[in-house]
Amino acid sequence: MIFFFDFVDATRKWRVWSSLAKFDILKRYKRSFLGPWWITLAMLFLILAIGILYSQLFKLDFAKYLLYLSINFAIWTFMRDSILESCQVLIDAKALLFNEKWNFLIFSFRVVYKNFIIFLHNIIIFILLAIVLVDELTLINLLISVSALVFLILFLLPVCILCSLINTRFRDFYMIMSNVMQLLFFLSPILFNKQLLESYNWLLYINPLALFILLINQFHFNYLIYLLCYFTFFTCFTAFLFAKYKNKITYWL
Amino acid sequence: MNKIELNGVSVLYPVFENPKARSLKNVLAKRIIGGNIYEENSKNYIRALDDVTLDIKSGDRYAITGPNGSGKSTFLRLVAGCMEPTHGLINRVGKISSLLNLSMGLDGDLTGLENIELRGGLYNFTKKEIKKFEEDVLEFSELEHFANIPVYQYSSGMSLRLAFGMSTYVAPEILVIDEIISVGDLDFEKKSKKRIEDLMNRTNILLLASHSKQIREDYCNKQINFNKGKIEILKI
Repeated sequence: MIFFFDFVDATRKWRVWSSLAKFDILKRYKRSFLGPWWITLAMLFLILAIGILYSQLFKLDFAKYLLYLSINFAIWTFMRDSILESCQVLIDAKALLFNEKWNFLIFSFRVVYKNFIIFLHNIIIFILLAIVLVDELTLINLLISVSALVFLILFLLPVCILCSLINTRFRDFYMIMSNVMQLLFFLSPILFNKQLLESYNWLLYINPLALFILLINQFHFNYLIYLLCYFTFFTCFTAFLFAKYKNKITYWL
Repeated sequence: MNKIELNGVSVLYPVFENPKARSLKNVLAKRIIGGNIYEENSKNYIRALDDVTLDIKSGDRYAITGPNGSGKSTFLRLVAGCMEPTHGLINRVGKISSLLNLSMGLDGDLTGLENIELRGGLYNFTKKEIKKFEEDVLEFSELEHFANIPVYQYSSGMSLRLAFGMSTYVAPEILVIDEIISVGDLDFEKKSKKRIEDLMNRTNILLLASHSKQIREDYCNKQINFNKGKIEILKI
């Protein structure tokens, strides 16, 4: 219940986390000519380089593969950066936390929102490619992808809160997570198509991040059920830990 | 009615710097093996406050004194709501604002104006309120001409003015101050003194840690002294 109340309270204080996130991004690209458009440009170079090489290796149609990569990389970067940055977010906000009473969840909202803005910069490449390459865009598909994306944000929030809690107490956690994320990148259908997995199909089901990529790419009822289970598990676990350790967080900083 | 009640409050800071006590591996190992391997290490604590009981009522103006490391700052943090006690109960009623760390959130890479906008965001202000906040702070700190310059290029006096102006904008019901009364050069000192006096006059409860006898006598009607985490109530 404590978690639920704090969650609602943090949602109401959207001005707080949105301005924190806004200035996080502004600060990073200060005095650069392109500003946040560097995000878009960097992503473009990455998928072009990988697209050229891997479409040859996998013997795929270059344009279609580029389209596939652009959406996958955008989603993956969103998920990975949200999770990894949230590990450090409370520790970095020490000066703020020691000055007045804070709702700790605000900082996870900040990370997710910041990475969502970056995601919006990255998705531009996909949108441009889709306009050129996709013959018919059905409204249904679009609606499904957008609602899957909303679900992803709802899923990331408890996961990020969990990561920020654990890493504040156990500083090894960040190192573990950055290795896990690297591994998950290669196990998820980002560079390759899921059909290539064949008998290793089960790898998808133990990896909620892979399921999200699949869900946003192509809706399948099966993925949704699994993800709902993961979502319930993470929310309950986070709510339990948060209620239990909320008052101890400042002692761990 | 605003009040703060502390009942048998103690604060024990765990010492984490011993890496053996903090790593995930050791906590898991302890669970699995069952024995308390690092019992000695895991019992490293600093007792910052020791069984503090105090009733603070509306109209109280407390001066807080004590040598370094006696628990003043922990007490102020506790009252401000930054932390909860490890033992005992605390009950706070009222909107609390604290001037514990004047430069809270002051970001050197951002310009003065951006800093004010960010702080306005942290106060959960609407766009309109932020506009008003910007005007007030810039006018008070006399930094209108420097509004679009990054704060790291400010002189230390200028950034203090900015921080002071932002921190003293909102009038709370309970005000917690840690050893800051005036900033800047002679002219500005008068101005900042007036501003903080206004702020203190508008709040119902004041808690002020200060080493200066003059300041304590000017603004406070009660005094508490801390000694090794224990509280003593003194007359002023």
